[in-house]
Amino acid sequence: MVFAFDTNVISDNSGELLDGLLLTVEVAALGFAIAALLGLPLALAGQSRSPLLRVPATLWVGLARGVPLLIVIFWLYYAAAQEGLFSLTAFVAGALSLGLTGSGYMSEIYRTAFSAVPSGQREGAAAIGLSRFQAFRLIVFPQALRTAIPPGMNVFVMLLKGATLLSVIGLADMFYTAKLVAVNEFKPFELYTAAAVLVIAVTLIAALAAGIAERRLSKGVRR
Amino acid sequence: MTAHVFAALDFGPVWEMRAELLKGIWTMALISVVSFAIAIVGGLVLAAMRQSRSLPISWAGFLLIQVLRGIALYVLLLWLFFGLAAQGGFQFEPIPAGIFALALLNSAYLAEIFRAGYEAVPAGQKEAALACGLPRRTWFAKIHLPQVTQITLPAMGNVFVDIIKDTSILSAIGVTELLRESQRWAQFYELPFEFYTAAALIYIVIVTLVTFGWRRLERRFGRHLHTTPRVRRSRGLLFGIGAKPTTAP
Repeated sequence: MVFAFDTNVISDNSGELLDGLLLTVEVAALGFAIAALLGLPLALAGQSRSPLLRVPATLWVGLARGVPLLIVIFWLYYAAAQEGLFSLTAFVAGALSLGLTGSGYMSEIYRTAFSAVPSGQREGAAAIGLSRFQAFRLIVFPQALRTAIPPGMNVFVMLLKGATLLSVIGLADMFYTAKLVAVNEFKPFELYTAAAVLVIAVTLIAALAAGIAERRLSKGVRR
Repeated sequence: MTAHVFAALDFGPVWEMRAELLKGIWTMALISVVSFAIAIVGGLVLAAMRQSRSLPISWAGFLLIQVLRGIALYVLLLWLFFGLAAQGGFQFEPIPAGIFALALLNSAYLAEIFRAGYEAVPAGQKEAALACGLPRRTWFAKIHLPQVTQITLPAMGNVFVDIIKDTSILSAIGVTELLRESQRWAQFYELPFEFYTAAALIYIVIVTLVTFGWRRLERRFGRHLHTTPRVRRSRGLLFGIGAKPTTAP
């Protein structure tokens, strides 16, 4: 067969595809926000001296990192509803599964970021009379955040790629639209290529944004 | 309320279907191992391209790695399996398509890991080896490679675990691995909770076992190196449960 690439089918549906892309980015951003918020207490609990905090936190991180995202999605969307625990819309189930999976990775990132802050910083804070909470909020956390941002953006990119899976539970995202049009018009090659290019573009932009954010946050640092 | 909910659970069908699930696990294992092996070769090629003195080759390597790291596995799978097939006569079987996609995407991650490991060995090691009169081949095989292996193994283990987890996505193109089997029987018995919970548990067990096995491998490859003093640290039982925290918060 001759190589034919029908650009019309893409330009005709570009509006829907871009709307879907926005939804993909939205669900990934919401999932990342959940992951970033959950990861912080998880990392702190994982470092706690009390096993009551440490054991559940390590178990959570192990589960979040060990169970494939697709299973988490199916579990939250189908399994929990069957048992009458709760029933979620595709968007909420998607954001939640991305958030739960990401929280394990974010907690590990926070943990390494905290341990990368030199211990002299904590000692110095204690020496000038800051309480432990003040030392954490004013001294340790801002410095740790800077080291956490590049790997954190990697997690965002991972979640963004994971968000393409949400079309399997019927979230009308970019990839769902691409599949629908691909089947209706029988142009899978064009639409999946367009979808792949869109995903790569967004992840590359995210990686660029990470670089800029990293530079802005390390403004006050002497090298 | 909760007691009432969980009283209705019926894991009997899961146990009855154990042979089918086990078949799914074997498929998963086969795909993971084969695609990891291919990804290592691909990663070495990409890393060598990045290191090349010729600028076009080095840029091509850089571009390939960036693009491959940006593609979602699910998108690539459907592109390979349905997109290319529609374009003309090029039809993959599900399992080779899955292996190819997994190997391709992960070779980019491995390339970055190999490059970082290659550069992490202190330059003094090479200078000292050559100053002692070792031929370059001996330096590479006996001095450089063991240290690179030692540095890259932990990160390679993470990639392997990611591959194992990502085989679940191959269910989308009809590879009958663990998730696909679970899905099938979950629909047949109308028991999604039981089957998906079982699948999640199986994945956790496999990932934990692989992580433990990989740590043994790391220790084996590191047994002759004395660059860092061996600190005996309690690792706990499962996922580090019961292990002492390394640093106080």
